[in-house]
Amino acid sequence: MVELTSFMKEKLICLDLKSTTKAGVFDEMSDIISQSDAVPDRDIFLAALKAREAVMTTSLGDGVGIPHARSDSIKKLVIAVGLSRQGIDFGTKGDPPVRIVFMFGIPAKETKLYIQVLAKISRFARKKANRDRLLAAKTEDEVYAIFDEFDSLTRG
Amino acid sequence: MYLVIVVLFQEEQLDDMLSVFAELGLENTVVVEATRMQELLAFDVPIFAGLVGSSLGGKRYIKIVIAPSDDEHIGTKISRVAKDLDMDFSNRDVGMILTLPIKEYLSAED
Repeated sequence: MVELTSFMKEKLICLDLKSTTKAGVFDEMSDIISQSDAVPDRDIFLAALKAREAVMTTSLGDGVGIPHARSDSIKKLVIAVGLSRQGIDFGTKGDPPVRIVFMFGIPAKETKLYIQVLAKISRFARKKANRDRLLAAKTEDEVYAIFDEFDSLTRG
Repeated sequence: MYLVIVVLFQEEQLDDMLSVFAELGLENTVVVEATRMQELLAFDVPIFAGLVGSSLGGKRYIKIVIAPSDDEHIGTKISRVAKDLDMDFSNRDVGMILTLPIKEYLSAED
């Protein structure tokens, strides 16, 4: 079973995103995720991110956004998490501002893993209790521990 | 190899179940629209018309999700993940999960 923490080892976590626009957050979090060796080219990553977003918004509507990029330039799956205190306008009318951003990059050929991870993040994000715990987290380790606990629910 | 069959009595839970299948990496999944026998009897066979409005609530359609898997415990895993999405298969109104051995499987290689 896919475990989210397997792809979060580098703890690419931002507890207080500064940007309040979608474009700004894409920039800000692209900087974070490109700290990983998995994303050697930040600009290609960002372009892939925007191309996917142009197809349809990645906002789930519960204050959660899952912008992601599939690209041959990405070496392996990597996940970054950003929390926003002010909220981010994802441009989706009627939805609350996005306060939790899951950003991930994945090689284009990894279709099966892409679907699995997207489904698992969606399942996590659907539960208000999970969202509330994440937003209350004070440290990167605490964020990581929340996902480790979530993974453990379906482990073994 | 095994065939996992998930019968959903609440067709509105299909999206969630497809998400479970996706998360577990199940491929070559198909969805079948079906009807419970009691419903067919109630609505299509006049002598059983007394069953209309019975405990089944008049729901005519159910969904069946089918996929091959190499994992003999795939049914348990589906049940575990589904429970986190508030689909508890110990509740008889939710549906049932069956895992059957496949004797022969002919298909193109993935």
